[in-house]
Amino acid sequence: MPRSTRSSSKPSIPAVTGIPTPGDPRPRGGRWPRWLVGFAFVAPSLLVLGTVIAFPVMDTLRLSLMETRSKDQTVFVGLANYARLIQDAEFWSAFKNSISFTIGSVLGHILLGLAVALLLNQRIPFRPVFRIISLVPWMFAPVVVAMTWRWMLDAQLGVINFLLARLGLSGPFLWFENTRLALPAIIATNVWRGFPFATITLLAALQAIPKEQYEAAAVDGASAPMQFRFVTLPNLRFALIIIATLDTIWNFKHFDLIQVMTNGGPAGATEVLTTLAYKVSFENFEFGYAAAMGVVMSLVLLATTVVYVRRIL
Amino acid sequence: MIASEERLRKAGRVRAPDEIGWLGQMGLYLALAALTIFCLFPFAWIFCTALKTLGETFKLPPSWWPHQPTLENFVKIWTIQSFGRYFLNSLIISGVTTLLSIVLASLAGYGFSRFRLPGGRIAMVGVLAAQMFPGIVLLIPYFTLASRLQMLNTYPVLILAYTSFSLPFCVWMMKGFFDGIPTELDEAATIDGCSALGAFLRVVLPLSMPGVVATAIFSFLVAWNEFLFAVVLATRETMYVVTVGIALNIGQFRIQWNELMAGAVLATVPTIILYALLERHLVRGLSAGAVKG
Repeated sequence: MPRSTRSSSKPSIPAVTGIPTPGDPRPRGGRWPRWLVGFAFVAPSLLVLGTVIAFPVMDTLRLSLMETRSKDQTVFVGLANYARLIQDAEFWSAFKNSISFTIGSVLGHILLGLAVALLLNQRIPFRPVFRIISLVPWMFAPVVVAMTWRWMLDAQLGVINFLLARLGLSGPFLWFENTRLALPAIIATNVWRGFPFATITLLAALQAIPKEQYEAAAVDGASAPMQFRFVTLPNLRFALIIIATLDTIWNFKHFDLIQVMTNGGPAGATEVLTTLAYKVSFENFEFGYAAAMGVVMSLVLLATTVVYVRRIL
Repeated sequence: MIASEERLRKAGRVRAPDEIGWLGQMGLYLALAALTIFCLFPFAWIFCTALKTLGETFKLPPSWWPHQPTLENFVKIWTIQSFGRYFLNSLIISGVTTLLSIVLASLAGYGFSRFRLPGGRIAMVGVLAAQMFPGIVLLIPYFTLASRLQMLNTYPVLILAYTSFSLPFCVWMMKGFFDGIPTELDEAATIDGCSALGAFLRVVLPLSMPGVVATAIFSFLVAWNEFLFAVVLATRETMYVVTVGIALNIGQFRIQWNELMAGAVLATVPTIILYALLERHLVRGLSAGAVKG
């Protein structure tokens, strides 16, 4: 994201409000102070974000201290929901799965994304075509991706088990019935779906590396792997940090793929925090308890976001 | 920003000298072929399945090409499974979300770019940080509020939610575009008698069309692809959107894969059209931020 605000870096805009300066582009008549005009531009967006984001966040915080007894009756219970979370084995199992899902997905996205970006940065014909092709997985709705891979990974009729059998691997692999295979299968699907973001970001960063740096390295006798290590990677550092943080946030709160592919099954093997909180809130209607889960998730994400915001500011 | 883009483009054209022999060339083409299959095969496969009859769908080994290609699945899912209705709902919701996002994000982006607002910097970071909250945290109070206002199963409740999802990114992107346009232009317009809004609408906005296009694609896709809010806030069958229609089909005991794949193909049609037309703008808008640091 862009780092500097034009208004703070360009002295040509008068900064002090209300005092007319030469060239002050105030509306004629000047009845409105300048900051109010600016606020009028920003206000509608802030209003929308307030309704759908700020208010619900506050309300979830409040709700996490309540217990939902019936549809219209909630009782203040203090930290009882959090105490219950600590003893809830389902919660901890979901927490563990969320972390596995996030780490697996982010690593996969970065490794695959980097490999494809390096490939597309070579001197190849039809580069724009291949760039579009490598974006294709990203344009599907996660729900559609979930369904496509459920079909391809189907135990009896799936094309992947068919190909594996051709390669001599004894199957059939029951991807979504086996507790050890289900999470890896979902992570693999998610790696396929999400790597294009890493690719386009890294490709843009690769193309911004001045070629003089490679020439200097070559003059000094650096081999291709050494050039990658000492020229390419340091230049990608900023992009890699951004991708890793954003991707961590996105995957930790991901819902669609898992909900549609396994609904948390088999036997909770793919239950993550988002799917568990969904069940607790919209199947059991324990809004207070689900809110407490949401608060814990938000704290994890907040820590990640702080890292991100401090990097880009 | 315009200057850095230019530098970027130049740098893209003159790459590091790569001395690879024919073996390296072979490897390169093999890798490109593998990439193409990897990215396109799943899509080709759902298309292939969507054209198969039920009998052929359940045949083993699977046929790589439909022997008796049929459009029956599309007709069935469109009429009997009322995908037409879901499609219409999705189009209305995504379309209005796109319009709203363009208007709100360009106004806010201009406000943040050109005016020194009290607390403006904090507000910008807050807008960005708003993306971090998991959907479920927002959804419980939003659902309660909507149900109290009798707004469940209406278009506005989803449109408002989706607009707020796309706004953070779009506001930042539009601000980035406006930052690249010299302020002298607005000043000249103001001296010529334009109001602040007039200078924005007549001078700055027309110069930022790539940003507007990127905003439009991004917000349309956010709305078109969303699932969690849709499944909770629109539970009446006539109000289903496409993603919900598909997901509820998969939960059935015996899945009619060929019909479901026809639904999947239909669900991706608007997306494909958007990408084909506007891919260039989106990639530029998305990658503008990452190379700046």
